[in-house]
Amino acid sequence: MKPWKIVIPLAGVPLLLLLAWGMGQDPRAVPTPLVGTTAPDFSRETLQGDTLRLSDLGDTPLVINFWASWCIPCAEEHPLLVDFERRYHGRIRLIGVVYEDTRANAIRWYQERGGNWTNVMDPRGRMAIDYGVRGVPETFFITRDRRILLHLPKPVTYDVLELWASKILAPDSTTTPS
Amino acid sequence: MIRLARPALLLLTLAVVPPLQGQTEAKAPPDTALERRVREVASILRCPVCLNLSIQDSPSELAKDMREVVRDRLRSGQSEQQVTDYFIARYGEWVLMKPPAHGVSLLVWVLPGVVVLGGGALVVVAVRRWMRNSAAPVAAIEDLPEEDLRKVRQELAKERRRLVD
Repeated sequence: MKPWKIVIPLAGVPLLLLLAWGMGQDPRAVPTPLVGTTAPDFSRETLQGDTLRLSDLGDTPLVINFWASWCIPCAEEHPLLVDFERRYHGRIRLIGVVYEDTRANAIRWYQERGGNWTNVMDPRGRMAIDYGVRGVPETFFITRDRRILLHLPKPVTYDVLELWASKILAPDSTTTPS
Repeated sequence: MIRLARPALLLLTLAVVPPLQGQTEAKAPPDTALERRVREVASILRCPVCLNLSIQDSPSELAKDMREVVRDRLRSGQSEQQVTDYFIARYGEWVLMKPPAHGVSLLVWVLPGVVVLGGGALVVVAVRRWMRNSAAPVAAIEDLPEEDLRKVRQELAKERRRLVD
């Protein structure tokens, strides 16, 4: 057999593999390089007008949820967060970050839907950019030593909340990579 | 009455128009060296919520916020590379409009060259083979083996009979 009869089909194999790999990728998926790194510090004003700093939150594991009143998926995931906060109250601190929205809208929305956690304003999206946020809702699961274990760029589900709550509560979560 | 109204209207127009022009100019960012650096950096950073638009070209709120971050960091004395690294640390190398020339992204730079060179080599080989084949002397009919000559003669005779009939 002539060599080119083998070489030409073989040359197509890497291209086909590359195409297959590309087809398996989510075109909207964006890498989240902050996973495994220390959560960026923040100092933000709460809806009530107080100041909340990451450094003031002690060593309680954190769940930081970016949301907005104009975001429909945020409204859909909100009952899950209410339930989550009630079940893990005192063990995990849930922080809401109001993204590209007004304080008045956020207060009204939060009062209508209920919840018992602190929400902070994020004027000009500085905290969102610091956390590599692209839109809402996005949620971060953070260990006691302030390492980001998960950056979830979509609405939470019950199973995701349970799984990653257990991970950030685990005693070895400060040393075991995700 | 109309004669008096015209100058009054002109004066009113002159009084109103300059402040409006002033407001329009105030909205555009001043074309300073800082703004040029902001545009340069913003042009190489991809907007995370757009389809293949830089944060310089995107009208989205997030892109606008990112441009402000670029401006603030450059103003505070950071270099263009430091500002770019800040965004890479948060959004990954995906945030660069041009993929970096290493890792999997290296394929984007290397593959077109490989394909062009490979295709060119194939064309050269094919053309040379074609030229060699066309230059090769045609064998004379007398050089054919006796068996083949006999078959040719038989076929020719068969064809002749068919034409005559």
